[in-house]
Amino acid sequence: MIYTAESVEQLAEQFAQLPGIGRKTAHRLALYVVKMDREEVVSLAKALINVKDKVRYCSICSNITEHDPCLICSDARRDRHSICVVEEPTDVLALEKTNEFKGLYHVLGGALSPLDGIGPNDLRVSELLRRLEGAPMEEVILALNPTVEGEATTLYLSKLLKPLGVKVTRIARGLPVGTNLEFADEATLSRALEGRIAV
Amino acid sequence: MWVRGYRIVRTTCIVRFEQIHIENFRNHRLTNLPAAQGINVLVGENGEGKTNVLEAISFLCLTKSFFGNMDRHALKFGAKSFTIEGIARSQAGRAYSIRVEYSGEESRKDVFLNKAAVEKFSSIVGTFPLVVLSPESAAITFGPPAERRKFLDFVISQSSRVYLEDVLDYRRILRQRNKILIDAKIAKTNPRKLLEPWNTELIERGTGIVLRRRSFIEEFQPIILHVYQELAGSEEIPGLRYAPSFDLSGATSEKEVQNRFEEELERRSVEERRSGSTVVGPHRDELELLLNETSLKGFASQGQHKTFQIALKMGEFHYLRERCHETPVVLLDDVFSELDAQRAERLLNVVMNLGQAFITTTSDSWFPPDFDWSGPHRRFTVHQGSVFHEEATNIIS
Ligand SMILES: Nc1ncnc2c1ncn2[C@@H]1O[C@H](COP(=O)(O)OP(=O)(O)OP(=O)(O)O)[C@@H](O)[C@H]1O
Ligand SMILES: [Mg+2]
Ligand SMILES: [Zn+2]
Repeated sequence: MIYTAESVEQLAEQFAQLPGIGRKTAHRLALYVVKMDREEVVSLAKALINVKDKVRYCSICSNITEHDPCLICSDARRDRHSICVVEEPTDVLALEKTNEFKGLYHVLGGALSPLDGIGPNDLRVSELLRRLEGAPMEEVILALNPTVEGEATTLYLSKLLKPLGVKVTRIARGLPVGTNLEFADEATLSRALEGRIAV
Repeated sequence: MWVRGYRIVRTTCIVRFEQIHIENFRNHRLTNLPAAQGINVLVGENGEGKTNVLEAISFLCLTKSFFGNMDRHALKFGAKSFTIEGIARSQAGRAYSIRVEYSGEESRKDVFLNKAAVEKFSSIVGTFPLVVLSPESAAITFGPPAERRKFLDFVISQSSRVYLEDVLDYRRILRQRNKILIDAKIAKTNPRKLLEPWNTELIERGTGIVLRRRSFIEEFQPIILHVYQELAGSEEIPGLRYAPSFDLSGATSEKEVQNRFEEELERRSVEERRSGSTVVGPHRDELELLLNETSLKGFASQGQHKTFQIALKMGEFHYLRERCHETPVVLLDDVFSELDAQRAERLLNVVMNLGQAFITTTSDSWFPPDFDWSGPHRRFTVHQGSVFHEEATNIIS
């Protein structure tokens, strides 16, 4: 017999839709919310709504931000002659933690994956091209994930960018296979950035 | 050795099972098998539970059924959970315990190595390497090319992590690439531009696979020759011929093979657009099996097919032992019944020198009557899901 409340079920269902959360964990989280103080629950709910209301994509680099342009794009101390291309905002976070890279970013919003219906037009590629036209860049660093999709995207972009006369490099393939940038440790990422090679 | 950032650790080990304990698995309610170091023969009528014992051993080695059966199906009718436990010992004297538990109610499987829960099942595969020869193995010689590619991939993957990664990446690249082709076919557009980055990846990974397969087959050829002739005498000469999906002759370096691949991909681009799928690459390779220079298919007798299957599997054993320094446990399901007396005797001699083996048979009449069961070999009878160990003395009767 399962004794439960309809509202708990509904909350669990919501949790279960989050990535990496299975049915069991979703239930545990929902029951935890039942035990929480009311203020705690309210501030959790507020935090959720805040994120949705305040956070948007930077109009220049497409990273997530509360200020447009984002803190990186508007930071005068950053090197404006190199730009690092990544798949997702989480990759920016991972690379920033290494403190190795002082240039700008461009977030593509994914990688080429026909099976998921993602082609070149579904990534922020034309935005990247426009940025390169608008400002003189010395180096474009392709820092995509070491997956077959990331690799295809790297190949696609390097072919596209080379005729523009800009130096195109990619981070060294020192990352263990299958490790996304997001999960790579800082030392490994730093080494990968240092060892970048021309493509 | 470092491969793309992975440290590959190879341990040399010969592990043999000493005790196998089976509970509520198939028709076995409670079975204890005190395994011998050499040959373990399981004798019994049809449907008594012999193959089930081998399947249980495959759970210990692979954490799953070698037939690809679902865990749920192996649960004894009416039981809530099954348990299989193996006590093993390495040649160096180190004891191992491996335990697989499956709960039907939760549809949950747990594996314990030396009492510690194993998080990722794939991490222990290879601790107890396994070579299986069963009626299903017939597909290797009788079945379509995919069966022989599967055999190649399985054996090479065990000796090369890079190969395994190439194969996994290649499959993914292929699926992505085929999606572009099929989409373009439906939309009647030209996919050339979209295919470009995937072509590069397909050729890079595919070439890695092709080169590895080619050198493996060269290495495997003398092993097969040796094993086959041990079984069948020297009249019949077995051969392996690699038939890749594009012409490799004369291409030796990686670059040359890549160029060939690329040319062929280009040459057949109209065809692949028409079919909506990739028509060139290692996923279209064939491994031809030959007997005295003639293709096995449509020519060889049942017994010759069988002998070839055994040779491939025994070859796999020798390859794993020599290349990977691993001595697999051998499972032979119903193999002897299909062989003539001479081949059966020869196979027995081959298997006796391999290490530990588990053999099922309905009749052991092919066994030499004066066979010595007091040494490292043991004979068991299987009856209605129970296994009985017969003492050496009362076997001769
Ligand atoms: N989940 C299960 N629960 C109980 N009994 C089962 C289960 N699955 C199969 N069996 C029984 O196991 C028996 C088959 O066992 P097994 O395949 O090991 O026979 P065998 O001794 O190898 O026979 P053969 O000589 O015909 O190959 C059948 O009687 C079948 O009904
Ligand atoms: Mg059987
Ligand atoms: Zn920005």
